[in-house]
Amino acid sequence: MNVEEMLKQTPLAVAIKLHTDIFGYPPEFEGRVQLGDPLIASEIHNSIAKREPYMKESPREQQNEDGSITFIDW
Amino acid sequence: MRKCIDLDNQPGFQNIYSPEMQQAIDRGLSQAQDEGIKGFSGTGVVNWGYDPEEVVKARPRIKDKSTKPRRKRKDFARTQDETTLANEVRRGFFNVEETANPKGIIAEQVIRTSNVRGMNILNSVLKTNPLNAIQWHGSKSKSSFFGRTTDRASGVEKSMLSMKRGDESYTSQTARHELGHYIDYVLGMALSPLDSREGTRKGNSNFFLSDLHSDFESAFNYEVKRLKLDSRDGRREYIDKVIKDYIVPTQKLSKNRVIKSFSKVLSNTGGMTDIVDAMTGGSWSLRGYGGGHSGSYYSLKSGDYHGNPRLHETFANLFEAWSAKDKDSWERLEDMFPMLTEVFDNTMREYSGIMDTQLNKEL
Repeated sequence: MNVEEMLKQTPLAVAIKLHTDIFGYPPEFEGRVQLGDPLIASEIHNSIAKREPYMKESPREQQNEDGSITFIDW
Repeated sequence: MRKCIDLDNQPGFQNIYSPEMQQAIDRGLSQAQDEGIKGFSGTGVVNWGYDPEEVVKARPRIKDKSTKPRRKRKDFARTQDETTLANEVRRGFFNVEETANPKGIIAEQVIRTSNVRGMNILNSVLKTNPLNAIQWHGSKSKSSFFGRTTDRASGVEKSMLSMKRGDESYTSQTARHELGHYIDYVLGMALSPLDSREGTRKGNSNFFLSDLHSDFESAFNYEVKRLKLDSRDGRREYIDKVIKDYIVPTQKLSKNRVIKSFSKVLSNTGGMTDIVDAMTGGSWSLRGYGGGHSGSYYSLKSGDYHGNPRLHETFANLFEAWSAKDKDSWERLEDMFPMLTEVFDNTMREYSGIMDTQLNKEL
């Protein structure tokens, strides 16, 4: 099996493909994602099971409870 | 010769308060008298000033602050065989405010996986502009980040790392990645103090060294152009080439080292694919392999206010590889991006003895 095929068969790649096939677009992640990450893959599968697209935002600003703002680099 | 002491006449005797000891003495005297032990000449009764039999609870101990100094950990201890530099880095993390005790673990992982030059600049930055907070989080769907918040009361900007718990080797890589953002941020302040910035950049700490250092941005743009990443076909061809030239050999190398999991192979190339992702504005992510950031993160729409995320990510990933004990990561990047890695290396060496900046001071 070549590397490209292996890349396509990691848990995350399988989940992304399933998500894209069902909803027509890939999932959106919050922040930096590890290649093949099985935890996020399971989150995507859970989301698909609920028939909800997996769409996390990566805002570079987050409002805190005290009204202050946190600026983020992932 | 046995010496007998008349307890009643000992100075301070009445101040002794130890019910268990007193009851034991009473039992001993009583037993001696009952059994008529030879040589026993006492009355068998001690006047304690109160009835120890009635004492049920021991008197609570009250700390005497005047005589007993509070035992406070002064710093992280130096572990066996740890270099002075490594210990300075460890101490650099000591005063960081933490949530769920991550700082000792992060310090350990960073020291264990960093080379000397990486620890050198991290030590300088931690000393001059301490990191303010580190927290663990366990959310599956969230990742780690570097953040900064301006305290509303004092107006002081605080820097923080939010770290996702997980596999040790991945956490240490991620820690160096997020510390790369922190160093980029601090060196940006060193290069261009907040109040000297102009236009939308004035007083805006979202612009890091990677935004402000013209050589770095020029080298980034040079590599994008050289590799033809400014066209869709060029991006597709380059990503194919990265897989063929860099991931396939890594897989072979890893097999020789008996690394069984393909995810371990991929983690060796994580920083590299993230740079490709940043340089292609998220095209790597669109391949559907996972890894990198979502395309929206690389949007340049708010670049006038937030700085350029492509430059920030490239800097953080370069630092992750540049500071790694594992030489393969950096050598791979030198091969892929000769101009960019040379500029980065020169910049890091130049700033290893950085000057004081405006961080942690009232804005």
